[in-house]
Amino acid sequence: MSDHPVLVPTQAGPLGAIVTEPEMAAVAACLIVPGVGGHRTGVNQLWTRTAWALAENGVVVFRMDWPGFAESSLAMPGQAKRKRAIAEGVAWFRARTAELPLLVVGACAGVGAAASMAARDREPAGVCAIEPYLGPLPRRSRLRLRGIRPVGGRPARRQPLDPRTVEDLSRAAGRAPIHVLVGERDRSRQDVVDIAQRLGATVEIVPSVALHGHATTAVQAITIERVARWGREILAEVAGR
Amino acid sequence: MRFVTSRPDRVDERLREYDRASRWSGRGIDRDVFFFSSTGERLYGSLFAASKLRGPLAFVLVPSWGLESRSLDVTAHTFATRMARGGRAAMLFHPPGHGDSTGDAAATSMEDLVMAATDALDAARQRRPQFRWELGGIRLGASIAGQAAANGGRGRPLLFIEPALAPAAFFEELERASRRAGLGRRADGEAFGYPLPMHPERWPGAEEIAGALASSGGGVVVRLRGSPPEPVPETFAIRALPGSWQRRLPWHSQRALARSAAIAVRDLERSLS
Repeated sequence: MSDHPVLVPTQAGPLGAIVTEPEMAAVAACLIVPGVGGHRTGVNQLWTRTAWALAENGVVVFRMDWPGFAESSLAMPGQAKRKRAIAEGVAWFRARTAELPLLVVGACAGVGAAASMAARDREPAGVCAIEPYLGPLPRRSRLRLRGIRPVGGRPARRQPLDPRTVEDLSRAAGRAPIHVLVGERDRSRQDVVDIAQRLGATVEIVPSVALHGHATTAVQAITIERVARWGREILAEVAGR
Repeated sequence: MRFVTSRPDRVDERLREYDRASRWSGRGIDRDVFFFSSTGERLYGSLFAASKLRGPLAFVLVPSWGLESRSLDVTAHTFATRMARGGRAAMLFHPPGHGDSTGDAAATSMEDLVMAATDALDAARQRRPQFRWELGGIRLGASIAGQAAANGGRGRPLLFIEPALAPAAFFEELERASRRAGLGRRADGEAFGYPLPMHPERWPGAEEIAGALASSGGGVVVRLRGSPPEPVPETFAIRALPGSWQRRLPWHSQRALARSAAIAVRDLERSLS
């Protein structure tokens, strides 16, 4: 496989992203959407290594830093226009992979955006939601003041559900199968399972761990392995249709 | 649903477009993102340069380790942007086994990181030869920059942001902090989800770094006033800002450090000329 660093031009400024091209002919495209404030690389290269694992199976993978963060720091669109900047970034990638079905991987608070991208895509093939955060997103200004949440920090239990995130997931569920990956010890597990059942999503509960924050290398390895396996299964399903 | 593969001509077209998209210009800033080689690994580099040069001094900013390499990116990116907006340049990079770079973080040694800093400096000089490129570092990156500058010859100026100038002690503290944060439940050999080096005891101590700094041309240390002081030679000017070091350094503190560091570069430039 090969990685290609790019600066995707948007109205808000350049979005820093990496496209991973597989060695073989590409059979699908994939977006990896980290949580809010998340970096495209993830904790200890979590998303970098996930992209490499998916590319091994013939997937072209696109992952970008959120507008205003890390390599997208020159793109400062403000809260209202952030979604538009992300959509422009995704459109740039899809314009170059239009012939391929789309897999979307979203984590934590990035799941809402991931679902929204899948719902709007011409050819979504599947969504993998990793430990989805279903509560309302904190305001950007509060994120800035708090700094970055420490690895292993957990969201409060039984957050009120964010109707937009649930709606995005619901729209995505109408277009492509959703697979939810959550740890048995994740505090949001019960909310996630409830919503997943309502949406008809498949749920995979990883025993004895909390996936939130991917606080250990062992948990990171689990996520990479499960996402790669989900990718292979979706590709096999698509090939069989 | 159709099951198709990308045609080879589409792949070639994509690769050409990725190459074109690796550069961006706007608002007086030229950005380049690229990979460069170091000790057999492929490292990610990110360059911020002024479209119109106003000062020759530019810095490759060596990042810290593990969680700090990511959580202090506000400092790094604010500094790089300020440098470019001020008519200068800065380059950031991901060390081996971190971010978008290849390599095994646990197996990485101080020598590998020093070589990575030196190779990053070469990459910056090749891409923007109009600037006078020097090394700077954040936290552990300061020790690495100090060693690399000493290897590169005497008299090079350095820029340190909240430096950690005793690498062996840095890793001990990192491991302790991780255990405290996880109430002792963290896995061995890692801290905050990142692997620790396999042999932290082989990393240099404060004396070795102090020896390297003694041969440098001095420079500037930008730090928070309440942080434990790090021993630097008298040839370094100290800029102390309100606040003290904490692992979850708030963004306003990170921005303040970066702003002060960019101003310090202007002063350094004047003193060098």
